[in-house]
Amino acid sequence: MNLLDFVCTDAIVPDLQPADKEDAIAQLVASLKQSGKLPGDEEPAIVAAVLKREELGSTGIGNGVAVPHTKHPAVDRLTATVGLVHNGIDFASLDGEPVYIMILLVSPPENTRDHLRALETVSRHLKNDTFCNFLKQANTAEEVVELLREADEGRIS
Amino acid sequence: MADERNTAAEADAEATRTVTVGSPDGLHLRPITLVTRKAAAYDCALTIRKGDVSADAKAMIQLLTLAAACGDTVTVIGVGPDAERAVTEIADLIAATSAD
Repeated sequence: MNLLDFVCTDAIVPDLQPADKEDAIAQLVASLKQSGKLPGDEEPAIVAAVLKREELGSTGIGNGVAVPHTKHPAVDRLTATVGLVHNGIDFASLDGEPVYIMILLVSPPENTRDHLRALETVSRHLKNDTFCNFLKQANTAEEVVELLREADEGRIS
Repeated sequence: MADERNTAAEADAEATRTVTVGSPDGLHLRPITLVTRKAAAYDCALTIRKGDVSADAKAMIQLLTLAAACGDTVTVIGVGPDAERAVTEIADLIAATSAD
């Protein structure tokens, strides 16, 4: 599985300026909605579901990365977006470090395997410090897409 | 002298256990959080291996790269103080049918 298989490039937010973690999640879900990836009036329900998941334990996975996520019947395939917080945000990550890169995932309830593979894909690339540093420095959605493509093609070592 | 020998033996202690992932959704973020928290409580080095992929049990971002699904087999390896106990506790968490 590649990052660009499930990241909605139209929904990337390269300069999130959230008030807090909850606001960051709401802005990313809104971006997915605006890009046409969330049908109907499910945006508030999806924000609530992602926040409820965060209550069970932070999705900050280290290296300045968080993967807030939920399974929701509003989507019929795995979809995701990327948000960059250049100043960092407190995400209550286990390592205590701020988060700079957010990958928000929404997957259909029944597709556990794709969800796990998406988490594997994200973590495999983002454990690479070089890729993380390049991504943190990206200022436009186009730069983010190009970096995701380079990562998918194994051009970042 | 005896204390020194015990300390040296502890530092060299090794333990390994192979288990089947019990969580119906596999080793997704919640069970991995539990494993990482448990591993962080120990001083020994802890590695979880699935096939050719190895991950530091104290690093969530590495554990996610295992993509271990329900029914997959993984090996927990501990080296250092309390390795036996740490490996047993982590293997039990991975084998639990629900890690919630």
